[in-house]
Amino acid sequence: MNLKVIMRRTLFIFCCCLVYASCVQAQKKLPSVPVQNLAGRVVSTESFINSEVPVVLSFWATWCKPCLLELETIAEVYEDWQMEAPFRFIAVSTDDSRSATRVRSMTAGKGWPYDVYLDYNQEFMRALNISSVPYQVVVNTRGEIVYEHSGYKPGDEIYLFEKIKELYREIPGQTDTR
Amino acid sequence: MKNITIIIALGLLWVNHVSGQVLNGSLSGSFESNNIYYFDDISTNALQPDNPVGSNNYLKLDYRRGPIAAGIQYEAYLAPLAGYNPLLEGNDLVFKYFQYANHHLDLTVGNFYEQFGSGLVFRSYEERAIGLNTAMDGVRLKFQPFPFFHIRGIWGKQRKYLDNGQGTVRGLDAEVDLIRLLNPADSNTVFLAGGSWINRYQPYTGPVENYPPAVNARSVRLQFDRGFFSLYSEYVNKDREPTLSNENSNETGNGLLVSPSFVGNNIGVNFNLRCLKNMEFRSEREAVNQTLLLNYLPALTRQHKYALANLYPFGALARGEIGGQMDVFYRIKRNSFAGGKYGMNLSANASWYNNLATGEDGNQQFLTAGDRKLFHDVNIEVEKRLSAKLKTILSYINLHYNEGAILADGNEFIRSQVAVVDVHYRFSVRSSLRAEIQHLWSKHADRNWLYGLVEYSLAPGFSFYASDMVNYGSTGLHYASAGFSFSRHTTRVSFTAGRNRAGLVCVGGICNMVPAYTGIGVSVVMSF
Repeated sequence: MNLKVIMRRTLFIFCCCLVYASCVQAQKKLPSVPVQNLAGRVVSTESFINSEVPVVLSFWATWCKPCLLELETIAEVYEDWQMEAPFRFIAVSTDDSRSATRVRSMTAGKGWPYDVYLDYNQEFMRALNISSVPYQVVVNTRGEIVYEHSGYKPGDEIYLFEKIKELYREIPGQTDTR
Repeated sequence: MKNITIIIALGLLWVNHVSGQVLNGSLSGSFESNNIYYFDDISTNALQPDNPVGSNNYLKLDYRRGPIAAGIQYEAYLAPLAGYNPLLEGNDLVFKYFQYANHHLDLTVGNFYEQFGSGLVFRSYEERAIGLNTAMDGVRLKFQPFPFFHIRGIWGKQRKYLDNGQGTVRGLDAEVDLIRLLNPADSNTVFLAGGSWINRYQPYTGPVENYPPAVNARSVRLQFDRGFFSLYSEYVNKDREPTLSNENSNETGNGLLVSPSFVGNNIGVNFNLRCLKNMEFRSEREAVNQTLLLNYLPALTRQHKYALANLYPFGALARGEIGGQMDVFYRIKRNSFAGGKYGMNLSANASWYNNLATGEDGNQQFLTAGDRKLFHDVNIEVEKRLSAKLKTILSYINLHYNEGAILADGNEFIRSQVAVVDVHYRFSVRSSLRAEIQHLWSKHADRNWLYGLVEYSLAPGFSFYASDMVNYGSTGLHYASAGFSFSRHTTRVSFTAGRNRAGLVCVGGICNMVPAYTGIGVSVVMSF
């Protein structure tokens, strides 16, 4: 048996193990990856986990039409949502160095209320196995990924907010609304 | 090296599995499959290939447990889709890695992606949409002994289609956070200084004397941020390397990027000024197209969202160019005279590129503009919500494109103007319609184009679109297309059918020539 055949069989077994493991695995945790803040400093995505409120990570890019539509739509309802169930919203820009300098001015010029970070070589995106933007991830107060959604259509934000409210209710010491 | 990575990964998983501790680790992955069945279409010269089906498939798996991560990516091109290099045909386990990372140390063995600074000297990355993958295969070590200092070293070969190229690449990059080092109490200022060095070695056996088998490139950079102002700048110097694609030039390579930006309340302005001279840098001197690129030289122009505005996309000319762009974003507040009840967003962008002047010695002069214009684009966009249900975006683009200088087979200087009306209407919370009308005016190339699109979506799962792009004044051809998609959580399935025009498909300013094709397609993307 040549090496290639052995390799293939090994790979097959490896994949089977992985598929099996994925069925029984515990809750997926937010991976720890370096990203850049808008001032240019590197921070770890570990710092995104917030022990008091759920965190929404929205992956976007300045050239992505549905992404801008999503961020604009949520910006319009952001204050109302925060009143009902507080959460942290982090817009992770996947713009590379072609358009990364545009992220800071666009965020300011659109008056968005979000925390924005740069994933300029898509390391964070790859660590979460995201193939395309827009993509939303919701992380609970224990750093576990509890909701993922690919793409954006008008109305998708309702389902996102439902999840945020559900998580907010689960936090000990919280009532349904503030 | 490759086999060792897999064996380590497998071993780890097996140990976890038999001891019942797989629960402590996490496994995630993604799968993407893009398939097109091609038809003959005589009017656009799109011919059905011998194998009428193109299929690109990617499976990626990652296992993480504490500081350890390991994973693979399997790719199968059966056969590659139109526009992808035919040499990709086949399947292989192209990406395998093992990584150990803590707060100070990060070691990767196997394949990895990396970027130094803005990528002018080194960027290894993946762009599936144009079949680009310049992953490294070797070792990477990142070390951060103090919060104000980090250093990275890389060593390895670079991916070429489903294999590795011949050149060996070594690199170092270091960055100092000067404020954290000198004045940690100042939390309002960021001042970072960094430097990179890349060495590429490929044995040379040709007849030219004194031909450089090793090419070095080095860069220095700084990032400053305080209050409303921030600045990024990077300067690169690269050794001479005569190759076919730079016309056997003996010029040293130089690059300078200066990007200041200013932000205020509801306003943001940024500039990118850049000069490139002989900056093409690959890990194999014979490489062409999208293979074995060591650095990243994106077109610093606006990447348009609309189809007709992308008919004549600029690609950076690594051989020599000088120019820049400016962006302005401004929001007029709600409940103001001009903003109305919902406010209004304005944005404008302008870019301009020329060639470099040639000196008396016949070499290009760095930082000196020549008299040949390559490209300009001046555009403005107004976004306004008219009611709770209706929103409009209006856009105007004035674009000049020197086809003779940008494309090998072009010779025209194309002047064009594009206007776009984009309307969003929301019937209910979940149901909405979007319509686009675009027109391009030009007396050059294929002259005028008209484009229309309607898209209906029903959240969270369903969307449908139909579009047509029609030329008039030249070919008179229609490029009609329609499709629908379903999505649920992290899975999306889409179907498309239609005719595609031959042209450049650009992602991040790196462009790929795609031939005309007509076909039906199915795509599946999922992550887990």
